[in-house]
Amino acid sequence: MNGHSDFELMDLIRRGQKEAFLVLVRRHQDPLVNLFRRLGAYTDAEDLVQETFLRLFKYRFKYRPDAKFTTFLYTLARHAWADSLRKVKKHETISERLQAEATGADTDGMHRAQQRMDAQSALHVLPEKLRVVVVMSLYQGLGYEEISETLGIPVGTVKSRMFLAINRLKEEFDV
Amino acid sequence: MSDSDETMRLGTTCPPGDDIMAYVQGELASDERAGIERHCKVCAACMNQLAIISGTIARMKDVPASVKTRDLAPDILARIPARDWANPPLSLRIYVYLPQLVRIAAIILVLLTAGVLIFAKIRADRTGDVQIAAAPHVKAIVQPVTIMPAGRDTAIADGLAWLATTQDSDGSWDAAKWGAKQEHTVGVTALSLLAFLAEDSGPVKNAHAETIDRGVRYLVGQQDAGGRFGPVCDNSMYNHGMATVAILKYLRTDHDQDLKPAADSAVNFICKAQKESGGWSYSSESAREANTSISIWQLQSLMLAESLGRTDLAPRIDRSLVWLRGMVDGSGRMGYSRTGESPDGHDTLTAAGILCLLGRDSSRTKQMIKALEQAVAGQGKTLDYYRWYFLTHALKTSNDDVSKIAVGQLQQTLIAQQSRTGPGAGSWETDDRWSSAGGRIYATSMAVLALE
Repeated sequence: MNGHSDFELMDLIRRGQKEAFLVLVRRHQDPLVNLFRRLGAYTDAEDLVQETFLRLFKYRFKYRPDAKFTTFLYTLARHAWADSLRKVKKHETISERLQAEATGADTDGMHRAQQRMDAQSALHVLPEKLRVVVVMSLYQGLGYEEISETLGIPVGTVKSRMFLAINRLKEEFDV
Repeated sequence: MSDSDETMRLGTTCPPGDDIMAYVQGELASDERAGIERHCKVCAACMNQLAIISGTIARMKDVPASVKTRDLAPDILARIPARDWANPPLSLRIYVYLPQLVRIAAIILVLLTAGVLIFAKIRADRTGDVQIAAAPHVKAIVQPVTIMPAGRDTAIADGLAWLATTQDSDGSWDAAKWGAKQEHTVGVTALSLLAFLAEDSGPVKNAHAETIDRGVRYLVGQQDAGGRFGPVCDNSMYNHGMATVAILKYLRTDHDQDLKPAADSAVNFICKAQKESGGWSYSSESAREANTSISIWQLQSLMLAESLGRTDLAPRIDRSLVWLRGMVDGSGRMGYSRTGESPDGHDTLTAAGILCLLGRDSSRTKQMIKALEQAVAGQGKTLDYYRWYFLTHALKTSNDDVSKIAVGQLQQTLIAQQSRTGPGAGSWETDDRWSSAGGRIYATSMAVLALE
């Protein structure tokens, strides 16, 4: 079943095949964990991935094959993230995030660690609506068109937000 | 010679920064790429910007490789109840068979059409009737009138995008900011939500889910202990009826059980406010007689709630429908508070009445649709978003070509009225008869609703 496309797996899931669901989760769980971590949910990332796939199952009949599967998946992930922000009603502070990250840091050397800290902390200085565009574009590898569909905003807005975000990041690095 | 002078000499102008951004990210078409490359060869400023963007992106990407996490699949699977795998509801299962059902329906339609054509030909051959008496009928089957104005989907998307950007952080659309009364904010917010909650766009596939969620939470936050949405004011029952319809429509698409107490409380408030006659008036405390304009929102709320399981509402709905039928005159026109009387015209009320009576009184709704078709044909296209919303939805319930054409024309006119440029791009102007009550948010919401 590993050779099946996402669309074929969704079709099998709709027909009640649990094995297809397992394959689909394993195929997409790592990119989603990374998405949530970079959005700011370092400690809750796995919970959010679980929530995203539970929504995927709940709405399995609403997925239309004319839409790209990852667009559907990232839209659900985006909603799960937004809901978690509302439910928790507090954001981890940057220092808490960095502290949490430092706990799990690798040992690539001080310069690399500093570089990573810079990139990560700069990312979290961005307003949420800019950060999500940057994360989807730079780390998840989504094109402007797909980001546009996932977030429900015009492609031109994706482009301008990305430009605005990069300018702000540049300012952060220059400080 | 400076860089900009050189650029001018070569006749090229600097591209916008976000185009350079898109170039760096490989998001431009080949001709656009070539244009940027040509320009950067002669413009040091743009070349410098390109380098800065590239450098910043490279720096952002210089992070550790993506983490691999433990296998989450068994945990997730364990959280799905076995019954959900074994027995999905019929309404969900039908999606699996939808493509096959559509194909079967198409085949039946083709066979039926062929049968009608053959029958008509045989009949004409036998009778020698060269006038082909059945031709108009056959034509109607073969080429049904379907009016889908060009640009409709774009207009809706642009309208919703504009609404999304104008939502306040608390989830409301503040009526006062857009040229209307502050006390109408609940009603205006409800209308905006309804625009997002169109029948065929559930929150899942609707990328505006956050906007919807915030709006719904705002409305719930405006509910008092008695179940009423919004402040006590002259138009509080409009606020309340619109908000209740929005909450119930949201519940229908999202099944968010947390909202059920608020919805039940709102419905109970409507029940308490119902007059002996069966209708509703301007406020629950008002001694004024009931009118159909306010009542249709309350009745729609009760009918929606009934469809969501509140079967206890049936007697109240029946009482209201009896009263509503009594407001229809012999020509099929709906009155305001008495049969045959309506200070602001009959069309809006007749159309709204059709939506309430549909499926419950077919002979009366047919008569009302005929009245509506005649009224629309005899009038110009004076802008009235509220009226057009009800007209389009009521006429869409009819299979008559006259209705379909009328809907298409109304929607075409609406699309032409949409603002295309500036900060209001995607919205509609507010110069209709009710603009002082609802402002630009109201206008845009109703226009989008009329297009959906």
